[in-house]
Amino acid sequence: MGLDFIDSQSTICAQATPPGRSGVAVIRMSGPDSESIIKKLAPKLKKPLESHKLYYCKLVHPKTKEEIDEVLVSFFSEGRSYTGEESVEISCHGSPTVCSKVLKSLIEAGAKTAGPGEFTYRAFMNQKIDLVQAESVLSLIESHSDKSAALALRQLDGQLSTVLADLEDKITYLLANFEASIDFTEEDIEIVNYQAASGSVSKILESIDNLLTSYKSGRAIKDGVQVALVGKPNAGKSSLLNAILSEEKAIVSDVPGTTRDVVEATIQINGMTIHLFDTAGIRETSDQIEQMGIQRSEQTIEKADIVLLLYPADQSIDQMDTQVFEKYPNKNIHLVVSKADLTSQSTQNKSEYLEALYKFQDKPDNQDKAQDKVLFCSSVSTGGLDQVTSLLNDYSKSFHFENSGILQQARHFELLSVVNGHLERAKDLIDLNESAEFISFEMHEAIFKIHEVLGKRFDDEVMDRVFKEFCIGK
Amino acid sequence: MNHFDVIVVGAGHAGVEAALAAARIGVSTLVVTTNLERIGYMSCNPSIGGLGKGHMVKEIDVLGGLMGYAADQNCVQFKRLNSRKGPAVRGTRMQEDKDKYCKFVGNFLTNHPNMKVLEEEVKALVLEEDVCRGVVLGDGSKVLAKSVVITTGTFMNAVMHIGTKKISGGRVGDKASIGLSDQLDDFGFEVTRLKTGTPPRLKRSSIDFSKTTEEFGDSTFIPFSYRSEAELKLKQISCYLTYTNEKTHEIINKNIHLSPMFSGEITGTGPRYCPSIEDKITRFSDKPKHQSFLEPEGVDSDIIYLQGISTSLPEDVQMEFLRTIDGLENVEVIRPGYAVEYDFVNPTQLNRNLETKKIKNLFLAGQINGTSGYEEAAGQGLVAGVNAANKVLDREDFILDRFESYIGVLIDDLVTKGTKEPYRMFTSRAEHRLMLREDNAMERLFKKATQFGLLNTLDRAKAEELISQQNSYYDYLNSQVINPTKEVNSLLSQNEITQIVKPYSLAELLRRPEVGSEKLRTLGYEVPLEFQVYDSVEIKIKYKGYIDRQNELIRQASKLEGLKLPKDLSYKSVKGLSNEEIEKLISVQPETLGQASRISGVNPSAIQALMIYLKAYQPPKSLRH
Repeated sequence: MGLDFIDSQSTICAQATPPGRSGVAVIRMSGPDSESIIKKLAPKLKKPLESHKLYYCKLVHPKTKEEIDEVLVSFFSEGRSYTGEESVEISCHGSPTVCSKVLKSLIEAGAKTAGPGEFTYRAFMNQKIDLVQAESVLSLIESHSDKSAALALRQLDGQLSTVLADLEDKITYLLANFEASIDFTEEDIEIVNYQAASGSVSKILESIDNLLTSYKSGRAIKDGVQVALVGKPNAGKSSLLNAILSEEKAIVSDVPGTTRDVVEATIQINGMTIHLFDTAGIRETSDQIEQMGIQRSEQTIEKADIVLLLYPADQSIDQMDTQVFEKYPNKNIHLVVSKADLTSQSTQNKSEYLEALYKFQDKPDNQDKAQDKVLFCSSVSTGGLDQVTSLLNDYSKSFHFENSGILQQARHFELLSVVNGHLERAKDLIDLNESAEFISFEMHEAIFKIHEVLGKRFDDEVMDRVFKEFCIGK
Repeated sequence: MNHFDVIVVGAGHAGVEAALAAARIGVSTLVVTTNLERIGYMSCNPSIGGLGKGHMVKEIDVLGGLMGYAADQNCVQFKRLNSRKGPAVRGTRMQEDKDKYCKFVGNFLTNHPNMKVLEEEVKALVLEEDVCRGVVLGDGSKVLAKSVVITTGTFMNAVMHIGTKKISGGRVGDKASIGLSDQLDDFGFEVTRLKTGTPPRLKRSSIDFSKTTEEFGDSTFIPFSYRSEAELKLKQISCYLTYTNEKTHEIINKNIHLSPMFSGEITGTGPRYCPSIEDKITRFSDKPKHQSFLEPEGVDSDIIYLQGISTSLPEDVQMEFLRTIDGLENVEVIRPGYAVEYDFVNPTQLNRNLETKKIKNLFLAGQINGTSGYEEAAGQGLVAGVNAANKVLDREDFILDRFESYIGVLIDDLVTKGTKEPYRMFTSRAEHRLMLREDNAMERLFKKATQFGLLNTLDRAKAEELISQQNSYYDYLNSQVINPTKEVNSLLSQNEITQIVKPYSLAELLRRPEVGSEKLRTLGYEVPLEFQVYDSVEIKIKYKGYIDRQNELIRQASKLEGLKLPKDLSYKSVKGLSNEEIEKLISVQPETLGQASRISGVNPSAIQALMIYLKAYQPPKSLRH
């Protein structure tokens, strides 16, 4: 069983800011001896330190008295810090040498190196945060867009926990009724009305379904949206990518098959991270290296949220292109007519493209929406990118999380899917007018799993899995 | 003779099972009771079993206890509750001939080998520092023993209330026991008050039963005990259903200030699940009527027990409201209802073997531990009796786990969580309910029963015979295959069973909802005749899916049960525990990490902290053998 590194009696330290050179670096220390250890390094700090105060001082090596750096020390008393323990944060100059000297001195003075996630683990152990909040700390550190940071913060604030606790309450209420109907079978009262109960379970299932659906947004916000550029060689994929990035990230040339591997670029639109993947063109080839590139392209399409199928305006649609529609009938595929400056008949060809697309994909009822599936772009004329950027713009705006909890951890998604399964079975049993003990059993298991999400139920393996994902220093 | 191995104080349902368990194991046992006429007496309702309770009676039976067998012999009405619902919530309940039951148990106890029964009062315990060495009798003489089991029920400092009248005593006609609880109190035990109540007893001949609904028992009798024959010994009798009405409620409401529960005269907490009629009409004021069963206390008895109407209102008020009830217009009251207030010892002061933590060799069982009900008392009595005997023989503790029995759930709840009101068993208290069924009590507990030597040779042989019959029926069902021939299918159709299209084992066929063992017998297959043989096998096959899932949950839960907490663990030195958690852990002294996780207010993070501490606590491998 895991988490063996934890020795909760000790005082731990680690660098909280990323390694490398920076203006300022922060070193964190937590544990019962934090104050006495920092005093060994900063002889000038004599009086008892006050919580939430900043002290300016010089740090020296506790034995050699060699001067290390001029630093700012913040002190947090027990119960008032992130971990719930007595803590110290040292802001020193951001050179790797200085940081390593400070850490070595702290260890010399009695601190130990923190294990991965140990600070957050201690916060959890001291009941400062629940398991869902602990996971959000991880997300916050890893967030690379405004929205993902905001979402992680919301989770840290306990919003998802609140939504889950509310779900648990509702299930528990129903469960209590079923339990009472079993144990008070001789009373002359109808304790549980099966029809009403079935309705209540449906409502709970709806909320869970919303949460499960939100995982798509949650994951997109956390990990970003993936856009794959595909098309025949020399369809203009790299040119489009470059135009979007306004920089020469991908190699552009007129020789078909130049991009043999998937080129990735990342942009931010409306606070969302968008990963653009420029794939090798899809064509039949005997070149082994190029074949591998094509395989990778296909993998990229599998994972993509949006596929932009590029197609030069001066050519007509062929089997190679329709293959993509056929292979991925459920993908969000847009046809992008590239090099639209090369011809003036683009608009006339639109219906031809649409016909090819909707042969394999469901056509939206809305006529405008159906038309939106075809975009025109030109990487050389001004305004030639407008249609593509506005598509990405609209798509990035479609992710919001104003109203309810949102799932972003795979662990939560998996567990809630199990909860969903149990409740669906419970509803089936209710509708079949089955004995309450089985309905209760399903509901108990559902609650069990919610507890697992929240860490309300002790399970060493779960804890281990959550905390080992952390980087050191948090 | 003034020296025994085990002394049992009290001869109610707990005392009887405790004494019999000890004597069966083979140690010399003395029972001290204040009233020889009331051994195994039913102080309240004349029935045994019910949901959760019937389950415990079956468990007591498999563990060698008397209750189920005695109930079978004196049953005057048999019912299987929830018989149409799932197998885990079916419960057996038997109305008993109260006097016959009491005489039967009294005879059985008195004539049991290794047993001596003495009519005396116990004034105090003989203590040597923190070890109990025996008891002091009413005449001041001492009787010594290696272990002592106290089962004084509601008798410790008991006060009966009828209206504003207060009488010292635990039951009409019996004295309270004074002194014992003071001694425990002095020793530092937490002793507090609980209350319980009992309804009026009515004169049968004064009731007009034509205005009530007659309620019959089930036609097929299924005994509690595998040792009983499936035939009734006594004539079966009916109960009668009637209701209170608005007039009844009006009279009670008008006089509610005279009820000691409401005037503040009684401070003890009463059972929420068995409320008095005063409670019922106050708490459910919108209900125009409450049901009540008129239950005869025996075949020839002229006494009717008025189920559901326990009260402590003054006698004249009781008479007034009773006479508003249909059928009771001219009723005569033999004994009015009353409330009893008594001392109980908060059970978190006990270990799981029911020995007190403060005084060694002293065991407590039954209502003294805050429970309510004959079955709850008997289950504890049996466990305390076995452990008292084991102490004498220097054998390991007899602990029943939550996943194997309701008695295990009961005792674990008591010693882990304590109780603030009389504790009654419910099936919902058992998280592994689908495994804790009446039908499989034998499968669950037989091994432990033999391991601890709880069964005599005869009973053991009988139990083994039953198990082997069940096993061969199980094997038969799984090995017999029927083919989709014309003959088979037409036979199936005749019996309203869907035809088969491929070969089926009988077990597979049995899984269909329309098929049961009885139907298989009609089809001509070799199905055992005894219900006790085929029922549990059928359930095991029909509900395999759920049973497997429950077993998986049990497997997960037992990981924590397997982690023992050392007795000398210093909770204060475990980092990551809150002060409240430390306090609770010190007070309960859980024996396993699983038990610790069930203490209310001890969070999962505390369990994590304890687990880490346990790992650190283990000596390095090089130091281990």
